[in-house]
Amino acid sequence: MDGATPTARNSSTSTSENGGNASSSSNAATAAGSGSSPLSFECNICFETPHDPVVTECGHLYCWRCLFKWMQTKSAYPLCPVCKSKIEKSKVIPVYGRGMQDSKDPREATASEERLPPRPRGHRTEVPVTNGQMNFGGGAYGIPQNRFGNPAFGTFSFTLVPSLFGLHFQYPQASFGNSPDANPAAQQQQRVTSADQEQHDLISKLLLAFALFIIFCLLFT
Amino acid sequence: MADGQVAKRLQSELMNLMMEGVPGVSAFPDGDNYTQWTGTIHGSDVGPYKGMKFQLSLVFPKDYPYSAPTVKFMTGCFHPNVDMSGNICLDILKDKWSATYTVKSILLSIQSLLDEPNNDSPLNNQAASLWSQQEEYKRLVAKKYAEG
Repeated sequence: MDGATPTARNSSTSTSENGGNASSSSNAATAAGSGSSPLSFECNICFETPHDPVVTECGHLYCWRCLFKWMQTKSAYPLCPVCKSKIEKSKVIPVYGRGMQDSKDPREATASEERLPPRPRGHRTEVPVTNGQMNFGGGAYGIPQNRFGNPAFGTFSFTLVPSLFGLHFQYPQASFGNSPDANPAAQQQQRVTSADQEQHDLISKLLLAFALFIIFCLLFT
Repeated sequence: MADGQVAKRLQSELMNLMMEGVPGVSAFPDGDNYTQWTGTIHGSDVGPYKGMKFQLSLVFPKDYPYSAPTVKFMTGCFHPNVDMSGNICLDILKDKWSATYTVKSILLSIQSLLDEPNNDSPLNNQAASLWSQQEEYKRLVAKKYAEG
């Protein structure tokens, strides 16, 4: 150990600290199980503080590069080095400590280390929407959403163009509401438009006047 | 780079081995080179190898711990799973190797293999067939050990 590098010295101090912990609470040492060091937050392959830490489904901690290398050497059927549980790259969970959430561009790691793919990302599960909110969304928000969707947009453009010429088409929602989802919305639209028929008449006349004014302006300037 | 990581891991193993002071097994690098170690195993107090001390050589590959080290008995050992040149037949050193195994776990495994041989896949047929006659087995073990 004469030629100990600075890193070796670091590890020696950390080990002695661990030794102190172990002596103060023997439970901690036994809890660490068969691991050679009482400190549990070390990579199970390189025995150091994990770099890009990941956890397997079975709960064992590794550096991403260490685990990936292990999975490559046992590519046929990779098993967790600690408990021999089956491991899959897609099911490896990254561990984000405070302030280190994906702070490093994973591509840097790819460039510097030999073909190491980026660490798998964490899986987020959204809080499920409760029943009450679902109904609210379907009833009140569903229609506005449909109105800006295909059938409604078609209706809008068709109403605007004929109204310029003071004409009144029957709004052709039916032809656009092909999908079963769109049909109720189209019917709803029909009811709304027939109720506002008079307002539309007025607006279309005003638009016609405005359009004629613009045409005159264009012609005589 | 890769060699540095092997040395780092072996340094950490050596540190742990010395700190813990595992009874019955010990190991130390042969020189400045961390890739070759000499280990010592004491026979357990209950088996036919009681009171005996065996030296082993451990040679670590460049991709350690992703591959197992090559472990051999340097002291002659009369055992069903050890051949005349000291080669050991032990699954954890072959297909059952795991990157989390250490020098300590290897030596402890070999220590328990001494008392619990796998007689189904012997390297030493004489030892395997003699295992059932423990008195005779013990006598032969002691004789071979005295010969070296």
